[in-house]
Amino acid sequence: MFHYLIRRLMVMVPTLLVISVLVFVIIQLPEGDYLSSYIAELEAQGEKLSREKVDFLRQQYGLDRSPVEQYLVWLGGMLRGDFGYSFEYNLPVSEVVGDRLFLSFLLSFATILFTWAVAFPIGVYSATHQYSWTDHGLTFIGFLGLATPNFLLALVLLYFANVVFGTSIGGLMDPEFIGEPMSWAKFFSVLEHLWIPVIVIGTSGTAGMIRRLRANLLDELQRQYVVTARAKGLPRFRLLMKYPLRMALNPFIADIGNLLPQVVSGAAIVSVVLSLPTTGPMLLAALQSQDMYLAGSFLMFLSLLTVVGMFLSDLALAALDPRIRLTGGTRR
Amino acid sequence: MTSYRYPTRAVMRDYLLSGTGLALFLPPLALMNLPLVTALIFSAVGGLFLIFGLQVYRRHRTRIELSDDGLCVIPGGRALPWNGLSNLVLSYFTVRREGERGWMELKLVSEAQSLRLDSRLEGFSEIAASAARAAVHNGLDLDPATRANLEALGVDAPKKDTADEDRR
Repeated sequence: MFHYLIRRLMVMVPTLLVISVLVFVIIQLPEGDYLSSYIAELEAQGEKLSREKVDFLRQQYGLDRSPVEQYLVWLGGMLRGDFGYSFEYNLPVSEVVGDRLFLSFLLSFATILFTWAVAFPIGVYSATHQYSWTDHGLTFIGFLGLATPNFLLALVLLYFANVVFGTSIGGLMDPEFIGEPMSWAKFFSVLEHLWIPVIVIGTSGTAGMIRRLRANLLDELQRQYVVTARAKGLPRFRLLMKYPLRMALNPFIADIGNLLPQVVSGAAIVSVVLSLPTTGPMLLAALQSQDMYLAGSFLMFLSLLTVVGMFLSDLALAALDPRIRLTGGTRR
Repeated sequence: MTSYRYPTRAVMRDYLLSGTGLALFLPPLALMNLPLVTALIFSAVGGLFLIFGLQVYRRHRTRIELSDDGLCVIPGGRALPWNGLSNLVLSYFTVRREGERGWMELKLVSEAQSLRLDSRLEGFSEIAASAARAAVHNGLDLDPATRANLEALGVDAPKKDTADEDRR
């Protein structure tokens, strides 16, 4: 297993390097750069920048360097925690992002916990009580969750939270805490607002997970080894925990890698609707304005989440079921 | 008694892996002014590659002696007698999505010893087959993954019930 961990770590390095190159190429692909967009915008307003001023700005922003040089500076900076300079905000990216990354991470983590905590017991119950009234009821709720658009649910819950609990509309905290340093009062305010986006973002994922867990577990429960174990008198719960549930979990663990970036990027529309100070809306704005370092940092963050998620899921899969599965011939 | 070693080419490849890892993660620590979190991550990963390198060195020097009575690891003279085998786990690992070009790891446990062998060891199949026979003889219950891996290796892994009958 240790050897596997080392090999798997080594795979991550070139993967992240290739991703960083792709991210840099993608953000450079649109014609022109931030400065040309800025000049065009000024000209549209009737202002004109002198040639010297343009050259000075180009030099200051590092846009006069070759793309390879710009890439290397960006990459080296990221290792040192310097994510570059946001042209649009005229501030270092780390300052622009502020606690948005932390809030995004908190929101994503809470959403994943919610999804798993709700989907697991329901999925297992539905599979072990197939075609019962409760199974039908939970399946119906699951389909409702899948079919309801996130933004609609967001608006309904926003209204509900305001009318019933008096929670302020939108945002991840009460207005008086915006821009303030983290404190217990601010933290509790975040917790008070967090449940709405968590439910909104997590609902469709929960519903999908319930359906898949139910189907996987039903497949496993019909296997011969389960019948044999039951015939031998193994208690139902112990049997369920020992093999069928472990086998049914494989697809979920394999999915962890996709879950993290999906939750972050899937939250973008909900963040716009709920005015959440997370990374999603800022990423959209940065891509639109060609704010390359800000957009690049966000894309790298999402990619890092994917690669780390895949790494964790591969480790968990290898620990859970280290079985040979060859698509070709058997080979040692 | 038959003696087996890890082939030089396999060991060299692991040395290369360890060296590359160290070369990637340790120089930034020394040459760049990294923030604390990044420095901690780089140190931890660099440390893992260092431990891996030491493990490879130990494997490089290891010789396994297989006999009818059990296994003996040299240097160190650690012995694992077949009649004391209390657990056998055979795992398969690969970093490829299609599941190919992986390797197996055999974990043998007795009351006094725990041995881990890599499938690149010469005579790995023979050792796995002997261990499987011992597991059957000792009435061990093998997990489904180990059973499937033994089958992939061409080794029969009878179920516990059959083993019980054999002993009776």
